[in-house]
Amino acid sequence: MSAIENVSRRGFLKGLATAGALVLGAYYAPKILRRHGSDDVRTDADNATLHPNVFVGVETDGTVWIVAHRSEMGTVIRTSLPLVVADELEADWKRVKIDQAIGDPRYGDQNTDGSHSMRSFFDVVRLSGATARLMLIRAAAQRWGVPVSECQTDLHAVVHSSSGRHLGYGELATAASRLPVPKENEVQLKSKSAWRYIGKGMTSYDLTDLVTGKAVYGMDAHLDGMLFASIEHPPVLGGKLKGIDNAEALKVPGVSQAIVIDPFKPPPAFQPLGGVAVLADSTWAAFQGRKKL
Amino acid sequence: MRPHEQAGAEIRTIEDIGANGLHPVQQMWIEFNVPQCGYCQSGQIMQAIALLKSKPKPTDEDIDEGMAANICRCGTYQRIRAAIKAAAKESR
Repeated sequence: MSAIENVSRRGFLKGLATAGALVLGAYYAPKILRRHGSDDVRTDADNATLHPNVFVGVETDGTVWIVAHRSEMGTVIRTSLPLVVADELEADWKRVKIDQAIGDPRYGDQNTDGSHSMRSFFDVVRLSGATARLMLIRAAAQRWGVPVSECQTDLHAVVHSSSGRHLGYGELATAASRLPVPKENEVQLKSKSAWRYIGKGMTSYDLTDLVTGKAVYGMDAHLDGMLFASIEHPPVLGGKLKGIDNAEALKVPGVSQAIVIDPFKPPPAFQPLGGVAVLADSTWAAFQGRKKL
Repeated sequence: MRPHEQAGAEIRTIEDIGANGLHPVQQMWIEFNVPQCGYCQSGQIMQAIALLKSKPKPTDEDIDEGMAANICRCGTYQRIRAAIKAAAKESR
């Protein structure tokens, strides 16, 4: 099990001075995180009032930000890891917003492959949500002057059943943010029977965007002066280029260059396979140019 | 084909199809939780709408044939088929 630890003293002080937030990291590879720990505020979770670790932020209006730090490639991990955080936080999924993380060493390993995101980060993100939950409970107990042991959470609120009192997470965010972040051994995870979302077959957070053309992919990214490439690979693995005749390809409107990509040095592993890349001002022009090689 | 080479032709896009409330096919895509990564789904939905236009009650074979050019790497084909059938039922 990985641990949650303070990323940096400077981040801690900066957090206190600005949003009353604490900057901590739940991590997969502790040494890497310590070396490259970043104080930058880059996500909405970082800006939230209660921000006990890099994965979660609670706003005073009750909005809960949960950071998806892995890459979505069709397993719906962008939804499922935040669902685990939400479960341990006892957050109302309707009030959760997912914040997509960029590449940042403070999240630990972000190399999304091998279908291990859930296996590797399940414990870490559970701890992340449960830590925030405990802080909200402690804030409520303090407000009411009752023992923490008498308080429970119930879907986005802390309740004190014997007196019938309850306070929403948004109302508690500021007070909770002033409390020290509990140590791992103080945090209790929910029992399996209490899980709301884990294993319940929820749908993708992005479902509507995915069926209405609103979802944004890497392919949608456009930069000024950006070119598009289409690559003619060798027909067999390890094939080498004998020669290139790019005269016709360069005549295609929009095509600007045809460049040789060196073959890999064995073993191929994840190296480019080599060949010729046709560069153009649109994918269409690049495709047409490649056909003329 | 690039859009500007289609002068005079009617082109409908995924953005347009649901502009005034979700199209029945989009609704079924949600109900059957079809997409995973979603990358191919704009094309799948537009293809399905075109298919239902020409074949309002498609058989499995009609669906296989009509949707064959749209590849889904996540492998959502079973749900695509179910959603198309449900949309066909809905519009009758």
